[in-house]
Amino acid sequence: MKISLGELDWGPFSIWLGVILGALVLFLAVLFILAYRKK
Amino acid sequence: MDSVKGNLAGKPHVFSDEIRYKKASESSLDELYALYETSSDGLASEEAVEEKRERYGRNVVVKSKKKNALLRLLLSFVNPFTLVLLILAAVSFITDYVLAAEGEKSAVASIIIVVLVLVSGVFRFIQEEKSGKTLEKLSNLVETTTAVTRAGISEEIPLDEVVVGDVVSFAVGDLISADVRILSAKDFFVSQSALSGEAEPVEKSADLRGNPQGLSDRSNLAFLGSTVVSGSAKALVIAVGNSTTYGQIASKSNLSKNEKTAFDKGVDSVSWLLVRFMLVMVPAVLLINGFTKHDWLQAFLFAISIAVGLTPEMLPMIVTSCLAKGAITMGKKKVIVKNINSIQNFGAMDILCTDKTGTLTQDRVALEDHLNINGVTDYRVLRHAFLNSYYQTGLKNLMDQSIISKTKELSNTYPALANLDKTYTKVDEIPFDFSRKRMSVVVKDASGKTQMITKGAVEEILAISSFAEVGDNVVPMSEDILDKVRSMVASYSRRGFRIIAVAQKNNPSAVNSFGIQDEKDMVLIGYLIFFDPPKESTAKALAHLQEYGVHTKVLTGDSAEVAEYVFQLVGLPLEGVLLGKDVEGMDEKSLQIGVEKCNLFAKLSPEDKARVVQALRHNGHVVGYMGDGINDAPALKAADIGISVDTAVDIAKESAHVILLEKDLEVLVDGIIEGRKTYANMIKYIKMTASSNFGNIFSELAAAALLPFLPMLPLQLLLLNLIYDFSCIAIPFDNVDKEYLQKPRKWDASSLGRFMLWMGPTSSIFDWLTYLVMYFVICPLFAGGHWGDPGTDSALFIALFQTGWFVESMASQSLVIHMIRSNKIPLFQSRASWQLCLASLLAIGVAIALPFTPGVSGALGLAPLPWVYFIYLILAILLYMLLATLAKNLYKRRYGEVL
Repeated sequence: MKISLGELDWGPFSIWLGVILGALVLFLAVLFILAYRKK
Repeated sequence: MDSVKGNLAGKPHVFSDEIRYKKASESSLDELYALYETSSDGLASEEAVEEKRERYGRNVVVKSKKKNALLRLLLSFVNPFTLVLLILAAVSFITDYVLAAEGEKSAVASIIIVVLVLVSGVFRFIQEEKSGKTLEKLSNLVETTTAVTRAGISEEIPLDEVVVGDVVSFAVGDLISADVRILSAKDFFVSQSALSGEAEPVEKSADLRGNPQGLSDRSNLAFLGSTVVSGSAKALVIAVGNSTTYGQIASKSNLSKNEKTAFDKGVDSVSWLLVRFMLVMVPAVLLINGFTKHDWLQAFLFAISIAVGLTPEMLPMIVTSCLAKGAITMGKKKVIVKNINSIQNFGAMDILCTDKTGTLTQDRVALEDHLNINGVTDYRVLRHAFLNSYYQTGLKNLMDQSIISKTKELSNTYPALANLDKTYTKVDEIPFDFSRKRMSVVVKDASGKTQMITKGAVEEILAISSFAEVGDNVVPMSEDILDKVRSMVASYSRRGFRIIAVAQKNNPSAVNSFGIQDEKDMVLIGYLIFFDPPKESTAKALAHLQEYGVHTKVLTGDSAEVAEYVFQLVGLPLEGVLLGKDVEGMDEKSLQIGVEKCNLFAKLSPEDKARVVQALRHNGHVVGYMGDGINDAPALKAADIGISVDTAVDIAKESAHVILLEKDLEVLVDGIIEGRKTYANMIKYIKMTASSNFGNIFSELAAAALLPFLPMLPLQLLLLNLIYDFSCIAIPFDNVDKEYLQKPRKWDASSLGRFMLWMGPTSSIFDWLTYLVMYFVICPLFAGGHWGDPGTDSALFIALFQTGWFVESMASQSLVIHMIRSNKIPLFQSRASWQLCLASLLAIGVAIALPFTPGVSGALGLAPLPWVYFIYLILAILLYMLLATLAKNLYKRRYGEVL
């Protein structure tokens, strides 16, 4: 490792991770609704 | 027009076809024999046969000239994948070698690309050759024969061994084996629909009748590809193979091309769906990358590589491999598939219509008794039956064979049955057909007395009998006698016996030429009682079929009573009966309702059988029809999947899609299971490819919009695609869950779209996560800083990033198959075959090894990945598998099943 973990950009990382997790939650929510909604 | 050599008066000539056929049609028999150096006894020797084969060729129709191996090899390189790789090789050669500074010149990348092109092309060629050869071998197992007379001896020979100059005999149900001139014929009707499209049979005779306009109108010529509908004939072969009329049409047109099945259309629709995605994606990615990264050449190559990645170029090969593998396995189980696309229909079949004789029963029709009107065993009845069976020249069915062998067996004990073939000579015959359901022969004894003997279905014989022989007296037919006959027939039928009646009349006509109109005023003399016991394996096989969701319906020409008895013996519950006369009286709509309620259809004509099959198909069923007789041909053609046996008449074999080498329902069950396995593996590949390609679209769009560099080099993208395609060759060998095989599987394109939408985004989420971890964590840690920082090694940053996604992509694509291949929990409840496990591991192994391979790694723009990446990879893949399993279960909950 050429730099330490503390030198990483954790701020933007967290924001984008939040976006990805948000997309995941949204996607799963849609799947759950579709799966459990009465046809 | 092609021409063939003829030999007139010992000197070889070349005739045009028109002249050759006209000559054959208009010559007298003697001229004809001289022309073709043969005689009424056929070709005289094996040397003569060889000489003819040498001169006129083999009787094989080559529908389209097979391309030579070199051309086939070259053609396996013609696809978008190769083209893009070659463009990449050229660009790479120019930038890395031609334009590069002295000392930095390197052609390694170009060489690697060329190797990839060679490997993928050769691989495709080998796979396709292997599939083609295996299918050819399988189709050779089913042989059609024809009766030929050579040196006065009649024998059955394979169709392709017939030569010009052979004398051939035809009976009902035969295929006309070559183009022939008729030498003698009796009520000989052929269907020329394969040639002329006309459905109505035409009569052929030895003499040239009327004023024919075209060759096919010439009454004394019959053509290869026609089938004998009724009667019998002897003929001389005048053209074989590609010199025949059919051969010339077939070699020049696409006559041999099969119409696209629902399955073909389904596969096409998948291809087009992906192509449509590509058409939207490629320009979008090109523009976004071009404007954001300002390297239009790389953006262009990347866009094209995405296009190649999305093009399902391996789909046809994988589908062919799956089908060929299915055909081979079915072949081992004695099921020969004539057209591999019908494998899918085999798996989709939910109703099996079958003939009774030989399928449910043993096909060993034994003559149990020969009774007079009073129900007493009478050898006179057998003698008449023998003369009829022995002298009729049509197809000798099991009943005829049984009558002949029984008579010969009894002739030692009863002298009246001995030497009948010497005591009587044949005068004429009126062949069998399915509308009359009877046949007649006219014989003459030593004293010159002629006698017409007719045998056939009881009702049909009663219809032409004005008299009955009661004791020694011939009495006019009366209601009493008719009642007595019918009650005796019913009593035997209820016990499972098949009955045919025999009638005769003396000195039937003053002129020695007979026709159907002479079958009248006959004297009913008795009946023949046959028994065809059910097979021991039938009950078990029927239960198996039911277990696999295939409902059996019996369609027979026999009486309902006989069939009902067989139903009882094999344990098939009788749901309802429809008779031929009911079917004939129904319009299409009421028949469509009727066929659902019944599982026994008796006293059916061939056309009735076809109507029942069509009605079932109209109701949405995938219908299989199993039969081996001439009367089964229309139904075999009408069914989604026609099944016949190797011993069937030519016309039935020709109409069928699948040939069983053993006439056994249990063999059929094996075939159905194999059909479903093949389908399962194919749909697995299609769904997996479609959904991961769809997922990649999201990943690449996000990368194009947000990343300052390409997420993967065009070459890396293509390499990824190639390794993945390689790993897919194991799919045809994968296991299929037992539960999946229980239900008929019908192609349903609608499930593919929703599967893509459901499963595709799951892989995108992990691609995005990989981008995030690589961009913000791993690349800065090992390239010495963030992207754009002055101290950061940008080249290493990009190489690490691209390698990280390359490996993650390969791992997720290779493992998703294990998630979606079964409804069950992967690894624990359902395991893939070792071939597929090995292929997946190899694909991931190669992807991981490449960045660590000196020389190759740099040329491909890859960099060795640090250990911390693999911790992320393991976690990400485990999470991905969990998410994919969750998505799969939710999908299953909504739609019932995954595949």
